[in-house]
Amino acid sequence: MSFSADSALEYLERAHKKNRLAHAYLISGPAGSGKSVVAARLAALLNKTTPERVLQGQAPDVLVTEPASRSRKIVVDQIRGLERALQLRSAGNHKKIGIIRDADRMQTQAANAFLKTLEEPPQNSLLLLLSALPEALPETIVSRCLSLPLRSPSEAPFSPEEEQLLRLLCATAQEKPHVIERAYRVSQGMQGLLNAIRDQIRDEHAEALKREETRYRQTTDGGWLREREDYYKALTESVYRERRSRLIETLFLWWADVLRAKIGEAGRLLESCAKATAKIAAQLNIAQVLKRIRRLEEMRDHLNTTAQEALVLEVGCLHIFR
Amino acid sequence: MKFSATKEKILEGLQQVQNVVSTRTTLPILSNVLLQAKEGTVNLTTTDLDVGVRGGFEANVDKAGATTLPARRLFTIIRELPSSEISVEVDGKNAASIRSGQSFFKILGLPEEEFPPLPKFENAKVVTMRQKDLRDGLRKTAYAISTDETRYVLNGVLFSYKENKLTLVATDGRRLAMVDLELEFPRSHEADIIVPTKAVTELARLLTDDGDVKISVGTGQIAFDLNSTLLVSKLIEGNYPNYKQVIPSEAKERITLERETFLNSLRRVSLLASDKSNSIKLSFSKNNIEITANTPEVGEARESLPVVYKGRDFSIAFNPEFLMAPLRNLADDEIFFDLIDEMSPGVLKIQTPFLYVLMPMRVSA
Repeated sequence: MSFSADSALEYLERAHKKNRLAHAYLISGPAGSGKSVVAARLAALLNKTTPERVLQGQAPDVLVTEPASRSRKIVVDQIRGLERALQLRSAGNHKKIGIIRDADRMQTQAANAFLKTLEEPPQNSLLLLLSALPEALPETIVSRCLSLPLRSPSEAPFSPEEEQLLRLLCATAQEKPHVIERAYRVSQGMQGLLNAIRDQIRDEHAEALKREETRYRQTTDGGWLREREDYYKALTESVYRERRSRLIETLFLWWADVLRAKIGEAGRLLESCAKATAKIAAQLNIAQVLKRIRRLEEMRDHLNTTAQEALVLEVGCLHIFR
Repeated sequence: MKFSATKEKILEGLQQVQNVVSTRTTLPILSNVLLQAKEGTVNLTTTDLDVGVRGGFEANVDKAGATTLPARRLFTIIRELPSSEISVEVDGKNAASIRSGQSFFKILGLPEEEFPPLPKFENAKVVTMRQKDLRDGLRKTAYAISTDETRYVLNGVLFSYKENKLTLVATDGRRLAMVDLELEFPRSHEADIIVPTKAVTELARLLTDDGDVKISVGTGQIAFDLNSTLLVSKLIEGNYPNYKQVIPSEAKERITLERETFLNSLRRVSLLASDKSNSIKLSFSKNNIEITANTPEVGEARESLPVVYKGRDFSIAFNPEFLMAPLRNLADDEIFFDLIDEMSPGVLKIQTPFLYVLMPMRVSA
């Protein structure tokens, strides 16, 4: 059973009114299903603040933790910091709320360090774990939380870069099959897109860092700013990986449609590309389609290792789009 | 804002508050000190959101006002200034001009509004006691605080208000130090609270031998008002373990020892306690203790200490560091060492209500 964001919030509110809130919830659901919104609104309700302040990390006694290392992981130090803060009593009559975004990105050590707190949090605290990939969480974490799955929104809008990728795929579908040029075009297009994304994130963060520097360089002691530079570097990488993984998910949608077309199943995930996916389906047999989906899975996994990104993409596309 | 004061006064004020400024902060303004000048004094405040300290110094205030300045930078500048007379002027943009003799410094700060205010205490339970008593009590207990973060409730000192006594307890699971302080308070003030290590350390630094300290316990927080300075801290969540059950109710043997002599002997012998077992053996025989330590393949140390002892012969081993810690922190000349047998905890006592329970270590015959 899954909830819409609103009904999940109603459910939590009811539990709160009856004083029956559990100590830890795992709020799961695909991107855009409103996990952060539910968490922020619940925290705002409990601690009498606004959801905006919660998400900005400015609400009292609300501690937001998210992946901030270069490999887009939640590291053990972040978990220790969160635990330390939960161990102190709240100054007001607030609940101490720990929100962990992208909980599936916890390092193994971080997850293990967290088990004891998660099983028996300090008095007066509430833990909200958010994850789009709950199956990637260790069983030991999942079993210690009450699960609250959210339904995907009826129409998930595509981001501009996802639209661009789809246009590229539709265009290459018209080309001659089984030639290396087609795979090369997809690979080049993907890398162009990824470079643009990386540049955009880097620029945004450079600007944010510059703003902080002009404000704080002379007015405070240096320690904080030095850490900020590293923080932004890691954040850039982390955000980039998140957006890259969304593009890869789009490729999965594409191939899922090809497979549907091949076996004559109605309904398409990418309605606008129905013709193009049908065309690809006509060029391949089922075994070939399945093989390409497996290759795509391999590519996704390789991207999460230290292998060089350009190489992984080129090799991957060569197998998937030839 | 404009004031002038002597270098000593400003330095003294900054030293009181600057330890709280943490190097790892979540908010940039937490590395700054808040200065508020009015009517002959300048108040200084620092906080890391868990612990906050407010102090101050006397000054000639020409123009009242407030600002925040980088704490370490301000401290290093003031320390190096050549003359004892210092004047500070802050403009509307939080730029501070510091003049002293031939020197001139200009440093920038942030507006006071950004500085998180120290928490307010409403309906707090207040008791007053002598600073000297609290300082002695903390000195006798704080060294036994645990540093193990997996048992966070032990990372502080328990303040237990009960039956007109304030009991201070610290333990790390292998040893426990406890002090009772006489204190008058209404029954409604009875409570058990845990004050975190950082606050205890700062408090021990700030307490003096004269004057009173006003302790206010609010919801989740505590304040120590030392007249000229104020320290506020969050409390540790959770319940302190039942420490009473580890205190032995009886004692078979009581040995009276001269603290300094005993400590010096232990210190010498412990030089050869091995890193691995890290134990030191006390062998009791008629009117004598033999203190021994040995490290295989390195050597051994032995020292005899004449005492009054008429009980049976036996040996017991302890961690030398744990045995020396209370001896270093007590001031009494004479201490009592209560023992039952080689497997039961030993208890150190003095004339006043204090005790230190120490678990023995297993020794191979």
